[in-house]
Amino acid sequence: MSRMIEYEWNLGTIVKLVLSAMRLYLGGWMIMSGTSYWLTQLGLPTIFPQPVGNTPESSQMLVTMIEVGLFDIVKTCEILGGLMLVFNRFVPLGLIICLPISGVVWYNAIILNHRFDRLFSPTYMGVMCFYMNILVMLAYVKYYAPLLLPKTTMGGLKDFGKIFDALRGKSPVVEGE
Amino acid sequence: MATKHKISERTLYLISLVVAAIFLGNIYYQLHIAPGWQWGPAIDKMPRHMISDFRAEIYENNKGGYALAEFIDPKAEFDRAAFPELADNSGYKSTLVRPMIGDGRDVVVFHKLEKAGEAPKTVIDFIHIGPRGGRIDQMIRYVVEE
Repeated sequence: MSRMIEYEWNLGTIVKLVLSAMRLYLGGWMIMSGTSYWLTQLGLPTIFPQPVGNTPESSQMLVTMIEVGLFDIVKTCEILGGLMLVFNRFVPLGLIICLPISGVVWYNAIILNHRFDRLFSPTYMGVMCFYMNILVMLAYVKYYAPLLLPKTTMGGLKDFGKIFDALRGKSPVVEGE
Repeated sequence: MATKHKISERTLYLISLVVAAIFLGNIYYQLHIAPGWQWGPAIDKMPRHMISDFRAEIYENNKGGYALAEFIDPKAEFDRAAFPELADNSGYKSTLVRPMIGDGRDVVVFHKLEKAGEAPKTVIDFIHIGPRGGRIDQMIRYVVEE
């Protein structure tokens, strides 16, 4: 039987709903972007033509990334990360996978294409994907907090068991708060 | 005191999937339909790939008129008289003197043009692909003096 979740309508609930919507939209956008690229590569009708930039620097970066095959990795990561976000599985990992992609999308849109006027445009996913990625990551900060330990020690082979513990659903952090 | 409600995790998950499907539909609309893409053979290709196809239509398939209509933006800047091969059945053949050079959306083609009854000429074409629609928006041809 499915677990019952208790909630009440307050600011915390609304923030969670907004962040969940961001997670779903970001995931959907990543899936669509990655799928469009692979449809083209497979010789099928695409969802949208792959942009190749509006300035020489942006074009050089995008065309080079595509021609050297780096986009194969990027677009596969987009689909993988997007599926994790949409299906609410491995979300902290999905957000880490998506972060460098959304960061480069932001860099390309603002720094390389000089769209400073759209720096905070809520309808422009060239920047919003990065902001959404960061905001949703903040909601999962408890999973990233251990990465900020200033002093760490090496572990042993038995630590690999923790990977399987995590895959079995045994959380290393306190859940439900 | 605020009223507490209950919802099953499964219901919440199903609702999230429905929302995700709506979002996907919206993203598809925003990317596929709303921009009003000029779909055609020029679109969604890397610049050098697009120019290769453009050249194939003109010099291999002898369809320069078709290439003009499908691969060149109607508002493109170029000297029409400098490109006599942009007409169907023009009879021009082209041989690359050097491999095509691409840098971003700029492509340079160094090639030799030949047509029966005309003296062959070597030319360098500087071609720029437009930002939307994938079509050529600027072409400059330099004739190499031999």
